Amino acid sequence: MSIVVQEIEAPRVAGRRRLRLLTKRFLRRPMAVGGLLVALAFVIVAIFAPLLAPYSPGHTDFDAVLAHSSSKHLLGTDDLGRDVLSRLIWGTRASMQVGVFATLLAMVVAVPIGMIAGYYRGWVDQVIARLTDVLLAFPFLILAVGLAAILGPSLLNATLALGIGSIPGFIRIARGETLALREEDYVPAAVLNGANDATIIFRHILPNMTNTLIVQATLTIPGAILGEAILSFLGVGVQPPTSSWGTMLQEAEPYLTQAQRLSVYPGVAIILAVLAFNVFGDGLRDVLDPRTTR
Amino acid sequence: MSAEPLLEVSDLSVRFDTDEGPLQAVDRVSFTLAPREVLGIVGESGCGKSVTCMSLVRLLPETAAVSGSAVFDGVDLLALGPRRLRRVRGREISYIFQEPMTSLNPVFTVGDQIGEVVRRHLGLSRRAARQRAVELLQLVRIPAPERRVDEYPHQLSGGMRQRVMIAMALACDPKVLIADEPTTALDVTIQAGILDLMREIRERLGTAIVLVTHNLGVVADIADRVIVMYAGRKVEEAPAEELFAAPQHPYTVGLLGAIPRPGERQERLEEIPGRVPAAAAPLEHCVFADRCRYADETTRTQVPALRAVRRDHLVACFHPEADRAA
Amino acid sequence: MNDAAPALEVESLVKHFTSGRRIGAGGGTVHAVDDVSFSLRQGEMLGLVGESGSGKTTLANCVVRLHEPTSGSIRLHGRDITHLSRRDLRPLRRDLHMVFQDPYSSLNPRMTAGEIVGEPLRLHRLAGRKVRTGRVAEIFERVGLGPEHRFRYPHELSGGQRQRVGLARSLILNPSVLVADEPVSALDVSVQASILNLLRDLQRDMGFSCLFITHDLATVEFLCDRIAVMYLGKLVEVASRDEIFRDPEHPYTQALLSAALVPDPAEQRQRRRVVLEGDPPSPLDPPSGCRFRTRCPLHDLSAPDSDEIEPPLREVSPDHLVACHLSAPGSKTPRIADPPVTTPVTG
Repeated sequence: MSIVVQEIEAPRVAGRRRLRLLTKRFLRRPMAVGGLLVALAFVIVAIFAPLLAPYSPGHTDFDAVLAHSSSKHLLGTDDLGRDVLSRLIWGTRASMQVGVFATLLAMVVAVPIGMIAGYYRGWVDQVIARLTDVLLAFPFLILAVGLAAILGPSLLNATLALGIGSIPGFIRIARGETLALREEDYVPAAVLNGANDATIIFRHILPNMTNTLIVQATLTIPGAILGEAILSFLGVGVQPPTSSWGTMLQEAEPYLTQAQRLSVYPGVAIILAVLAFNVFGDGLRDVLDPRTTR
Repeated sequence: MSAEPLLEVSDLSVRFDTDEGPLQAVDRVSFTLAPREVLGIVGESGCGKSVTCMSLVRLLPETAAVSGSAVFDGVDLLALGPRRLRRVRGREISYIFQEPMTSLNPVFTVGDQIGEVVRRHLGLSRRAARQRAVELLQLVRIPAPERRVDEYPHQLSGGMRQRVMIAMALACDPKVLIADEPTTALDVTIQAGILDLMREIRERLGTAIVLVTHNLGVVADIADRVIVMYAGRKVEEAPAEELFAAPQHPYTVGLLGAIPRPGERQERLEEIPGRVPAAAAPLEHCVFADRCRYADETTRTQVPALRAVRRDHLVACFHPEADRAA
Repeated sequence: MNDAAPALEVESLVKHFTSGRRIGAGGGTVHAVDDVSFSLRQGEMLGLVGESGSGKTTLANCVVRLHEPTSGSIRLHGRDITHLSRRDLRPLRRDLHMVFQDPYSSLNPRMTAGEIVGEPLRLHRLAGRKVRTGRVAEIFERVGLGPEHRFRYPHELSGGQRQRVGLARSLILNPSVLVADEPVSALDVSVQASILNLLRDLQRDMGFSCLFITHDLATVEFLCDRIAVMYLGKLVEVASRDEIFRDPEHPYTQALLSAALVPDPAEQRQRRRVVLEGDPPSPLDPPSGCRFRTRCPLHDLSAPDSDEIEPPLREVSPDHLVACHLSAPGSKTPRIADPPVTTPVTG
């Protein structure tokens, strides 16, 4: 007395077909494609920074301080005569590093915790869920700033702080997915096959939540990038002379009236990166959701 | 039925534009519905029966290309503009769905939901609408209707919810009720009650009913005339008793042979080999050809037209049972 | 069927769930299964029939020890498995398996059909990869799937094919007991026929005992040797297939039979039928005495006993058990409906 399953001719091609289908759906969303390309561009710049930047980030040229764009310095120089373009490129590396690794850290720690909470339920779930709720009550940035202040300012600590701040969100996602997935019939089927809990969690539940996790990751990265910018701007993140978008903003602050461009360049970079990841993540979520028709 | 038909569907076709290319869901289906008639449309999943009905009330998504005509009361439903369509839907032609759980809004009371229909179409006041809601609940045999009218859907059982859906559908005394698998999600004993109710509706209110189902037992219980659909096409049409007594299309025969019959000892159930084809465009041959034991050159290259092989009995087949009965 | 010990013996099984919500009387306990006793004989196909709320799925889950019963006992080939730990149950998992209703949900979408079917072998470490592949291929053929299907993912298979994969998975270790929980309810009619035929063939060839759960009486008539009817957590009637269809005693069984539609308009429309009034009661708050009394067409006759005393399940004729105040050895309940009978199709 339930919905009858369609008995349509099964397609002949194996698993690759799904990938092609998803690609087609994705390509129908120009914004998402744009987001992906821009995000990829940033990643590439971050990886190949040493090759792409015309100067090293610390290279000073005291003859050309606060200079406008020229053939020698495409985006001009800052107050210490350092090439803005190079700093921007190296800054991409720092910001991307923090963004991506903070997210990875959060995932690696949070997903198992969330899965355990969702799978075992009972008091374990109660404890984890309530702790997560407490952490989620803090605005993400307050949490991150607080942690960064405790840990001390550095790129590594900024990564840690932002990663830890992103953990509660991932726990909640992983827990929710686990709660839903364990109701699927293939879980009791695995129990009947003789599977133990570890097998069920890692072989049956985890692979089926990767879609959701990937989407969540692409939406967490921009938060971490923005977080790094704010932490560094406030002085509790990356420290000068290391160049990151946040430190560039911090250093440009005294010169807001004289040379607004020094704030604009890193600002635009942040906006573009955050937007790109967000738009890509949104589109990806649509594409992967079986309920959307196109 | 000598009366003027209520609904006349001609050459209805529906093609979907899916991720994997076009899909011909319905291919040139024609049928009529007479007043007070119960028409059963039967077929398995994917045969296009639900899509056919949804296209009549224009419930299909944007990706569907609908062609053909569906003339109701002198107007072609498929060509109506949105305003006139809204006046027809719910008022002249009602629709009920399979899952009463998801068809009712959980945050409104039953009375509110029924009331919404009458207030929109008949312009009744709140009080009058509530009164009408109570009347309707009584009509569909829900006990203690004055109390139930203020309850929320989750407080009612599945069978009750389906009755509420029926009440909503009858609120404006429609000429046609389209019921899309109304009892599939219900228990067998509850189903019996709903079918009785539908019979009563036809008797007392004179509503014509289009009943879409995959359950041949339901059709045997309540339908006057039956249409059998397969892969988007109508393959057989006959009065109910005639269809069961002398099924003509090999698919219908196979379908009847596949159901276990209560009260009879059977060794094996009849199987229909193969699977339903999913066509991108209308097939240029008999849709059942690749599963039919009587398939030959003709069936693989030509489309069989609907013709009468017995009195009042149409079939689209080159080799109907009548050929072998002789 | 023979006189060998029963494959499965269930005695006074009770399974209650505590519902988190506090709703009126009953204090939030779902009485899913209450004092159910039956045995599954060697090589038999026992049909368990009930509608939603009957507890049949909970009973099935208890029997295969996906749940632990609240009380009562389950014995598999004489061995008490009621309260065995997960670890102790593991070796027994080879002997007891289940087929599920939902073809979508019962297969892991990330595994190929071959992997799904081979998992029991892999988990029990019974065979190396090569042997496994051979066994998988063998069982695939047995369930009517081709070798190419091994590499397909569930979403690339039709509903019927998925159920075949589910069957293959549950039978690959040659269990002696199989529980089938509505295995064909979600399939098209013509596909149901092939799966039912397949199940019957497999049972005959492989010799397992099967508990077949469904709400459809016509299916159990085709497939099963004996039938047990459940209502609101209790067994109301147990008898052979022929007995149930020829001589249904319990009013609920009669109502179920009455509601079973006969695919023959002439026959169907002139049958004397009974339609149950009212809503099925909630398992949170089952009626006192006989649980069926609130909807029973014969309530006037059985009151006041049925209001207070639960009718015991007892044998009223050889191998025919009924739980009804109006049924006793030598005295039958009134017939309230005509059982379904079909005249053969002509033409």
